[in-house]
Amino acid sequence: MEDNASTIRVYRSTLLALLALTVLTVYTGKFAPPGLGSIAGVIIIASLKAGLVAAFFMHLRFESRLIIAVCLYPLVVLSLLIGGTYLDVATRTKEASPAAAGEEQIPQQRSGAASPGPSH
Amino acid sequence: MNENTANEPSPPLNYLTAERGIWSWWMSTDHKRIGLMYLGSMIFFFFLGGFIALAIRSQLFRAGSTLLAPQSYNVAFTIHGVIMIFLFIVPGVPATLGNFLLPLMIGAKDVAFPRMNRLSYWIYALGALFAFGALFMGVDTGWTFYAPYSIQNRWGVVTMTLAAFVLGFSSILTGLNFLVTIHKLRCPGMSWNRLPLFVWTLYATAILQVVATPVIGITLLLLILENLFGVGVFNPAMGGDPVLFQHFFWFYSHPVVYIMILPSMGIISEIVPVFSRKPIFGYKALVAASIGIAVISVLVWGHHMFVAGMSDAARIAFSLLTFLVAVPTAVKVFNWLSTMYKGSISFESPMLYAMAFIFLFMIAGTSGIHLATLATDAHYHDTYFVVAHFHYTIQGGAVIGLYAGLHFWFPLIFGRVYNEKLARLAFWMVFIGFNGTFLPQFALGMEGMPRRYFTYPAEFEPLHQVSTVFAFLNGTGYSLVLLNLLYAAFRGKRSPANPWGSLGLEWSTSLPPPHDNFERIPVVEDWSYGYAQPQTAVRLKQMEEASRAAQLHQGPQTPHEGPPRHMQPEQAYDAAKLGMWIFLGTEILLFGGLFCAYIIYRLANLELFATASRHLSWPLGTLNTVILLTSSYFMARAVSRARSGDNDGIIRCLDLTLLCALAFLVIKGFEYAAKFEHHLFPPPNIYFGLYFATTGLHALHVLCGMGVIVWLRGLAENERFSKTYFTPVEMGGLYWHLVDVIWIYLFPLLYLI
Ligand code: HEM
Ligand SMILES: [Cu+2]
Repeated sequence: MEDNASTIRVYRSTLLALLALTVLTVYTGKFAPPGLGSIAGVIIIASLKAGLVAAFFMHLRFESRLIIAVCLYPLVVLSLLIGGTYLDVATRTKEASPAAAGEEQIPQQRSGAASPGPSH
Repeated sequence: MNENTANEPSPPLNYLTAERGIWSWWMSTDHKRIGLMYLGSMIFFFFLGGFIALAIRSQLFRAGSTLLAPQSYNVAFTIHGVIMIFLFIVPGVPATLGNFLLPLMIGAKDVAFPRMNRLSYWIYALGALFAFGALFMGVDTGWTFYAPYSIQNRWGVVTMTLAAFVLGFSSILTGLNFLVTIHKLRCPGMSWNRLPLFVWTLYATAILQVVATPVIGITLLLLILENLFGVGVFNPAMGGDPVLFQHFFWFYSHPVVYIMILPSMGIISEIVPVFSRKPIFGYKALVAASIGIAVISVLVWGHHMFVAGMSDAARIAFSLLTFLVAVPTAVKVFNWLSTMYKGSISFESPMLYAMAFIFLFMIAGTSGIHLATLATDAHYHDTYFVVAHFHYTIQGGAVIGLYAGLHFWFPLIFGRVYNEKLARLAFWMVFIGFNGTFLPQFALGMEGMPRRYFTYPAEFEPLHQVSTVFAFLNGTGYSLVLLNLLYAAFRGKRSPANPWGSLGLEWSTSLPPPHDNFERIPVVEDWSYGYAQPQTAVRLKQMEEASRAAQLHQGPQTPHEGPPRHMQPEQAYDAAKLGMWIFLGTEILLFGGLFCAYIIYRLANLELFATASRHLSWPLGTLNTVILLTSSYFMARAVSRARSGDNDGIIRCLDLTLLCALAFLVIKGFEYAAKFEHHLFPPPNIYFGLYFATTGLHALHVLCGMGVIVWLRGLAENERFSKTYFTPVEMGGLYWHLVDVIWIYLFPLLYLI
């Protein structure tokens, strides 16, 4: 990993790939038909980019299993947080939720009542 | 040195006497001194919190008592909770006994990052200062800070949560330090399957500290921002969901109860075999149980929210998962009992505490099962049943464990012995006082007495009176413990070497240990639980001799400045890298909380987010993305320049990185200015709340990163790096790339979709 021609080449190609993916992500997010497909698209592209940065710029591909585990562990924990919270929010109904009595799914309903965003 | 012993046998220098003066303590990087400083501060807060508890109990002695005004009562239980949780038992055993013992138990001269260890104490002190300030600001939310009550723009809450945030940072540093220490600094022969069980529990605890604490960090930060600017995430008036606060809060605060109790369990595993003179039963099962508890504890947080309005599906899932916790905890209890079975047990004070722990923890755990059951919890929730449950776990478990450890390792820490008779008397006062205080509270809870009320109907009076009377006995018992130990620390008789006949490595150095712990890094040949074996007597003899020899050899030491050189360069590099990656993991989780909030609200408000995101300028966002990616490229080059030993190259690449960072911030500044002009700040809705919270926090990280780069540049200008030493550049680089990676996600989520 000394600064010789071959590492410079690797870094340059990484940067180029990252820039190309940025163009792709702008296209997917802004110019492709909107919807869940485009949301999933940009997230997948972002993960690819993050993977490139980690593997090449941060040298993760040379690291020990321990460090790779350290790197993956937070992601597992984060998915637990998101999963557990979402499990609740997504399955709330009127009857199950005394707090939401008289309302539909809490966040949806309340935000509907709140300011609809600065669209004016 | 010989002359010294011949003439006046001046007492040998140890870590306590190596340097003198308060300043030498405050500036010390010695893990033993830091552990003691933590211990002193925490015991202070323990007694402060205890006094407030007695005030609370006095108010509750009579139905309709007016000792405390209703509002003062609310403030009192809040202060009691905050002090006991955040200032006392969360740092708890790891920061005190953990700090003191971890290096001694694995045969190291210090923890991996001694200066970071000191920093963690300083940060703790800062947090304590904030908390102290907040004490006088009348916070009355309870230690749980539930929204929306806590988001009504009150400076008290802001100060108090800031304190908790700062204290969390200190906790992360301790955990990180311990993880790296355990991975990189074990002495030869100290393999994973010989690691003392206390160290294993510190390991499991440290994992929880680094993964759970960042989530409370971001939660408290959001709470602060909510109070100051109104982000909306927890505010029903803006479409936010207060139950989300509870999710976030308990995602940390359930694991934190295991941060409190796991190390105490480790202490029990150390004490029981010594006083039963038998090898520990089921070493591997105990290790697996520690790790199992750590894993399960991040899966069960919802059990605190059964009646908060969670969905049925979530309630059933969390209830089921909670029952799982009982398995590894029961494994521990059975193993301790099996260790004692047919042992020749002696009942000195450490063992008394250890057995009390097992007894009390059983009551605690079984009451937890009642609470984990949906139907019964609907009745018990927010009653004195819960109060009794968590006092049995925390005081009966974590605190009693800490006291067990203090009595056990006291001769090692101070080189002196306490009065055993007094210690036993105090123990029985604590034990009886504790049970007398909290057993009646189970009954009160079952009868429907709610918690956090300053008064109650007359029919609850008798049980409350019993509780109060025994609470004073409990408090007197703790005071007696303190007096006994304090006196012994200064005036006690000198302890003989290895007074309990333990096989633990920590006892093979002099009492108290020298600054460097061991004269020579020891080599371990066996685990430390081999009691009642043919070779046990021989090994004990060897240890005693080693301890005495260490005492003699320990002539006057030159006072040490800074951390001892306790690592080989290669080891230091590995340690730094591991530490950095763990730190990056905590950063991911800090932002992770925001991502989680984003996902929840995004999926619930597709339209709102899609329209609102059009107010951001995607071309500027794209430009900033390109800039940041380029900066990462230059940073990577700076690191490879450093590896080739090209100093000018480092400086050039760092300058280019800095330039990119500056450009990023300038563009960000323009974007913010435009938002301010369009009155999008304070945020009109959750989308903008999240926009400002995430990009603001990210910009703060960019600023920190720039600070790091400037510092690295300075080092490079002073030619501090070489082909063989470039660790700081590489670590700074890793941090910078992470800032980039976070932006890689923020950009599409906020600007594009
Ligand atoms: C078998 C093990 C355990 C189980 C099944 C369990 C279960 C529970 C449940 C279901 C609750 C919520 C009750 C409610 O609010 O309605 C609770 C509260 C609590 N538990 Fe446990 N628990 C266990 C062990 C522990 C341990 C080891 C600790 C601490 C060291 C602890 C500390 C707490 C605290 C502090 C609360 C109440 C927090 C508050 O509302 O202020 N628990 N426990
Ligand atoms: Cu819990």
